[in-house]
Amino acid sequence: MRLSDSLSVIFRAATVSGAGVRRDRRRLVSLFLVPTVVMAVVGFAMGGYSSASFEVGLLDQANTIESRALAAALVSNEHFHIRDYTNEERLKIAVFRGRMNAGLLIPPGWHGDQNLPLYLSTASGGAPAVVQTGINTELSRMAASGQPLDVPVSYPEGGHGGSQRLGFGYTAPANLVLFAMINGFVSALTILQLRESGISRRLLAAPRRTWELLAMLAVAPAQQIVAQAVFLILTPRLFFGIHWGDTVGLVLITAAVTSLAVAIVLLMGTVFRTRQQATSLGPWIAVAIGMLGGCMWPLEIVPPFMKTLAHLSPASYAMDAYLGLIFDHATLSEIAPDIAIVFAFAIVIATAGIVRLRPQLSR
Amino acid sequence: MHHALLICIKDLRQRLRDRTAILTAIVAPLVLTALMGLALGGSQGGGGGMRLCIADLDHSKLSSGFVDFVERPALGGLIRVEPVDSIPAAEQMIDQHQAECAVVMRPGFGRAIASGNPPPAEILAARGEEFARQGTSELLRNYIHHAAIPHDRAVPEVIPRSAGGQMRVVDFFAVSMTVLFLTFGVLSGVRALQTEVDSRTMVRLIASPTPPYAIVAGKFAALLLIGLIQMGTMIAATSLLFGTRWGNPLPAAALVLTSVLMAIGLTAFLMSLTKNAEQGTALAAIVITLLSIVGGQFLPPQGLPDVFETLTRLTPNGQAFFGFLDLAAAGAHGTLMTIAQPLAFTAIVGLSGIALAALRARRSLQEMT
Repeated sequence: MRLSDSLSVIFRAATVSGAGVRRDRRRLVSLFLVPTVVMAVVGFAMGGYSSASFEVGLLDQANTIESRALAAALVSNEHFHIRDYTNEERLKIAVFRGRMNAGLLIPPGWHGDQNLPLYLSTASGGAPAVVQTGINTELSRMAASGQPLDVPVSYPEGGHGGSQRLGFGYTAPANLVLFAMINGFVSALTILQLRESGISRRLLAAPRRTWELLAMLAVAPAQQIVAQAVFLILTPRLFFGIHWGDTVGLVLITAAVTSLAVAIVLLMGTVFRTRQQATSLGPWIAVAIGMLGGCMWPLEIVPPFMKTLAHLSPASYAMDAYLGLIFDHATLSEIAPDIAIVFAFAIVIATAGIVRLRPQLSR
Repeated sequence: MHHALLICIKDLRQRLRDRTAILTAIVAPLVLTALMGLALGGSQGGGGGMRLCIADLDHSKLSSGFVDFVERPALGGLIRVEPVDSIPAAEQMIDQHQAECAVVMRPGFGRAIASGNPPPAEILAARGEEFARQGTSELLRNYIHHAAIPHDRAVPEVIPRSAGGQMRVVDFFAVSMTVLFLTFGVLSGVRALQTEVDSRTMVRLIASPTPPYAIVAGKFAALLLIGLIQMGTMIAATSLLFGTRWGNPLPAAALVLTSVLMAIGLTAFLMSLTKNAEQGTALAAIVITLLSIVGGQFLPPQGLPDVFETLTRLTPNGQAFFGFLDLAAAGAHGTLMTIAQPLAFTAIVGLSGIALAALRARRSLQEMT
């Protein structure tokens, strides 16, 4: 059998599945609309973190010259993002829920001579201690009648501290990687359907070689994943102004991510036993792997042991590559190791899937 | 009554045998809560503490006092000091990731403070350690201002206070995931019910001598019990595994009940909008996911824009989520009044959803028969 004949069969399988997806509005919504909404909402939310500052609620019940001076000093402190409150209960709740790292209450009649109560959040690690120190700094500066003090900062590793990798520049690749994996887990459904309906046995009986059958199985989810990836690259570029960096690097890492997702389809098609498992459990397994790999929050903010664990997730390497391209304008050679590791994950997962696939399809 | 009980027990047995449903309803939220708690519990430089290098090149009384200032008990041992004797040594510590920041106090540091001038000091920081840099900067500035004030003069300072009960990041996500997965858990029950409608099992049941109200009561009781068992299990598991506190039991139980009603109403209504169980499940999953994203249930709480507070209040899952958080904040003082709004909102959404879904189901069953 000639190669052109094989390719023709695979192409026909792709055309049929593509037409099916285009008619399925639910699939189109979950492929394109959901990731876009998630990217927009999370990107907007992450804008709140982009200054890497501490959130401090302020309730000034004194409204004296001293209290206004303290409030002004806190507002001008680059490390604080101050939000005014008019109700002590609301201030406490905001601190309790972790939206504020701390809440400062300036009681009536305060003239800079008494201590001030500060509500501290228990939901944000060591941040409250820093906020406490920062407010004490302003209080002691006012007491000393001193001027604001700038302490020079340098970075021995070179460059500058820079802003954290947040906002749409972060959520765009994070959602691309996350939804490619979710798509991979959920698309395992196609293989399960073939097994359940008995079509897989008939396919195996057809005069086709094994690689052709595997390609026919993989081509349907592959084209959906590729279409979704292209959409999730173009949408943030057009609407949120995201520059994805080096084009070749972008194409290669996206190829690696889509290969990974297709490999997940092949493996999970043999691991899941029912369609319900694929649709109910699949997305959450993908979310857990994505969380581990930094698709939900930057790995810079997680503790060291979670950074180590992140290396178990292929998402972390994909994110490293994308973030390098977007934020550091990395070259292809700089992200090549990450691309290679994602491809390696894809090869290992796909091999495991293929080994399990044939005996399962014939059942 | 007997028929309703039999139907309820049969449905419950079926649900409890469904391992996928149990994995989705109990195991998945616990795993995600643990991951979120581990990842974000120590964010903003607090998890393992900060390693601060101090290079005292001045060797004055004021410069050496900085170490005591950083290690004072008020900072709760968050900062581990590593003294070094030169700038290259401090740079090496940062290069080798043995410290996040370093403070260099150059000769003349103490003299400058005593004479009211800016002292010669600088901070060396590792890349990507912005929170550590900010903390170090605040510490150094605080010390310099403090040191410039005469000892006999009182300086006001902040007195830490608790904002309520215990709420760590893991507790925040335990509540968030419990509420989110309640809807997914109930959805699997509603899906099974719709499958019975699709396969005409329900039509046959109605044609049997069993009174229709007994069928409806049995099915509804099973859904309610599934939700209550799931919530009870999650509350017990998060309390045992993560030490999460859910507040006063009585109002918490009331909110659990209305939250389960909300989950049934929401998923049943969404299911009723579609033609079959498969379509309904997909639609409900998409809507629930979007509601949870919009409601900020997947995002770390710190620094979320104010609009998320409003959006969360506008979503039924967000109301339940905030209700449980408020109860935890109130601790033993929590009453039904503490959560009056979430109780009313979730109950109204639940009952309206159930009523609308029942009307639509009745119509489609009539069409079938």
